[in-house]
Amino acid sequence: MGQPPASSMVSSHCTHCGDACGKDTVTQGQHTFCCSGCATVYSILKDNNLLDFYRIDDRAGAKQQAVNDRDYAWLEVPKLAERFVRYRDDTRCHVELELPGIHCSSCIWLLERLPQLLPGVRSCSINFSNKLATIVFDPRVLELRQVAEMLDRIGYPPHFRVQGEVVAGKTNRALIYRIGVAGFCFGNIMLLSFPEYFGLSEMLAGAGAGARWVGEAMNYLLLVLSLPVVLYAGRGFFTTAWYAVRSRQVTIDLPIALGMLALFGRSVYEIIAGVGSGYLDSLAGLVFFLLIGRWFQTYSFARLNFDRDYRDYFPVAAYREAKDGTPEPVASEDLAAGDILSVRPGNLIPADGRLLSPAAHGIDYSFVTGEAAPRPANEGDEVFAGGRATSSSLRIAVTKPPDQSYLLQLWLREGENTKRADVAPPEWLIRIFTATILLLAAGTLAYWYQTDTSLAYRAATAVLIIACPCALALAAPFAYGTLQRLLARSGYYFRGPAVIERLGKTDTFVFDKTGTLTEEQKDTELTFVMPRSADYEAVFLAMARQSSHPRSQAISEALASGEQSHVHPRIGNVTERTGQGILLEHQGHNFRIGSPAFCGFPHYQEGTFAVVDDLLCFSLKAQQTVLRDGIDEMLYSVGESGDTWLLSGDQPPADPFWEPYLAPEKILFRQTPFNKRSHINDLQRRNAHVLMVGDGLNDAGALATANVGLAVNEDEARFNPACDGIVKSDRLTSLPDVLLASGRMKWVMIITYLLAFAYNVVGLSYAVTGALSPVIAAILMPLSSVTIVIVASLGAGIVYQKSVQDQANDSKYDSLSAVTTHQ
Amino acid sequence: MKVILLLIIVSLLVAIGFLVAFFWAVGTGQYDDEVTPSIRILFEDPKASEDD
Repeated sequence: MGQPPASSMVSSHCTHCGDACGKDTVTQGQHTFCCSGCATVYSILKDNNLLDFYRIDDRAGAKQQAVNDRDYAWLEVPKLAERFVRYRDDTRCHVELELPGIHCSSCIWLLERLPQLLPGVRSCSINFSNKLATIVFDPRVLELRQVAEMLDRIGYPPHFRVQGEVVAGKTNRALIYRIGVAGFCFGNIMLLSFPEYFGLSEMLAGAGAGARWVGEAMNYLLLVLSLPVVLYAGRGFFTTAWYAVRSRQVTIDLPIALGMLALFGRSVYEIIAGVGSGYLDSLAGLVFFLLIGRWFQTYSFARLNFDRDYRDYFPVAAYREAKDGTPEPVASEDLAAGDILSVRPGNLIPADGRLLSPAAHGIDYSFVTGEAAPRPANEGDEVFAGGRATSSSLRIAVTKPPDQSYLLQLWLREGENTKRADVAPPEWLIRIFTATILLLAAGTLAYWYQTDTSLAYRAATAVLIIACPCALALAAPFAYGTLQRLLARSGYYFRGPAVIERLGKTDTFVFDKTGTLTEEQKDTELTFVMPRSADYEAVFLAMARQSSHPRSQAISEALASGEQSHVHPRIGNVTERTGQGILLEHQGHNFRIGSPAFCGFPHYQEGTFAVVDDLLCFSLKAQQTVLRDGIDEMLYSVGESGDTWLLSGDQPPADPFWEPYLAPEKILFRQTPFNKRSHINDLQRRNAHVLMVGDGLNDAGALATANVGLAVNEDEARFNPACDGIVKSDRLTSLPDVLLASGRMKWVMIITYLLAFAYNVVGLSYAVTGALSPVIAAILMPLSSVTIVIVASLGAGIVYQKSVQDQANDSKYDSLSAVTTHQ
Repeated sequence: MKVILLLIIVSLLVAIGFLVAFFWAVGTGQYDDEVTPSIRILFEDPKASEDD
């Protein structure tokens, strides 16, 4: 036991993660590792006899990220740690942590053996689809900080959210209970109604007083069984209908509640008066089917969170300098103007403030503004919450508390999410439907009233009963819900059926540029100018390794990969010039890496040069922004079907790639997040239905305002702003197909509504004549519901097949885990 | 004929027993995670002897 798989024994591959070993190779015995992080995980597992980890799943080890950038000292502040504690007593403490690193069955195996790794942990249980770990530990032995640090060391750094609560993936148990009760009562009522269906009760009634007594007792039993249906399972329909009446709106719940009242009232009357056994089977069936429709609608994708808010992006804690200058952890929301913060490299700035020390490589605002390049910042400059410290620690004097930061204005202004979440038939249809039913019932009552009063009441209630829009209410959830599930196979995850309904109506398409349509080309090829010299290159490599600037790292990677035998010259410390480059005096030579001007070539505009005593050694091309694969075709075909805009936070680039696809007046550069949102507002004011496709925080306002906001993400489980849908970046090319499919759903809806209408005409023809027997109702109502559900689902399946050709599904297991249901 | 009422009541009681079992299963979170248990059951139990 314990030998890692043979493939990773090859010395150039990491024993832990299987990646090729580069510059930072660590060797331990016969095993090599690509970085010290991977080596740490391996040695922890080896020490604890947990090397089976590598056997369970081929994808077990994941590459470790830089080790030192995470810090859990703030978990020692009780107020902060308490947010993640679900339960605590003297001997046990339950915490629920989100571990985004969970990716395969080996992860479950290893994490559930956490008690073996860390004494004091009582148990650890993993929810794979939600990537959650429920950990119970002994607070006398351990603190949450140590648990978090151990998880981090073995490669599963926990993600802490400000709110503490993990909302995504919670089951709606109340609805499940209601469905259970409704199903139970439906089945039993149906069973007990069989004598009635076959006319046995009439036989009993004729068989004498004793037998009649049995029949009546059965009816009362039905009544008792129907009480939970009305009072518990179906209560929600009455309350929403009542709200609708009070706010003078018409929703689908109004005719449903009307039908339920008619069913129940009529049945109670019949049973108590002893004239029949009522329609309780139809009532229970109706509630059962409607609840199932509701359950189908609440389907969502576990571990995808569509409701992120700004607080999810910010660290839970910040480091505030105490009076004596030592940094102490403090909750981000407790920051006040005047506090001095220290922000470590790679961390987000939690509040607007003024910089007290220059930022070596600028501040990365790509998340906020969409600008790709870090913005230089000097002492005294204003910095905004959401910026990221790039390479050096920052000292910041807070000027505004976090909840008043510039970025937050995107969320707090108007345009809060008022989008409807449920699908329902269009309001005009419900209005006409409800009005028709009420008129028809009144008409029937008036028509029969003169001739036969009891027949008049029977016929009028029968109209209300049979016209109950169960089929109408089920059509949209099942049609759009089926398409929602199918589209997930193509990499499009929508938050609910209602989004797809809205998507079908969009006629205006707005795209963000950076990160959505384009990506940075990772080109690390160096152009060598003079004959290559291994000695010089070794010095440049050593220099580049001392700097954390992205360009230096690209150079060191390129040099390290091109050279097999490494010479390691001892060099002194490089001098770093912010925004220009690095230089070094070594053995009487002057080495420089940096901008063309810094290296003495001011007539060049871009690229990074490396010179020795004014002699150019090599250069690294400027990073190119290129369109993602297939995006040009996508833009072309989307442009055919509607008004298409491009909004970018960047400066206009030199290369106008969009010219063949977009009209020049529909491309706007230098757009702030606020500009983007108000632009969408303008479009909507002109009655456009807008689809916004974007990524990052800078598009958050626009995504929330647009009729449909689609967030583009490299990995669907990663951070994304609040949105209606998430698409993997490589699947964006099939957007035209998805638009086509959602547009075609209109026809499926028309067909199902016509079918529901036809059923109603048949049922009503019985009802108005007063000939609606309980048997006919009990057959017609479930039959219509089931047909509608089948037609709607099949229709959605056909639409998907005909519209979305790209069904490439490379990793079935991954997509299965992504779409695990929860209700 | 009256005996049928007794039978119906007994059968209902049995059915209610299943309903309660369903509530219990939902309440203890058995439907909260449908993926992990299916993976977990495939892991071998730790062996008593240690090699390597």
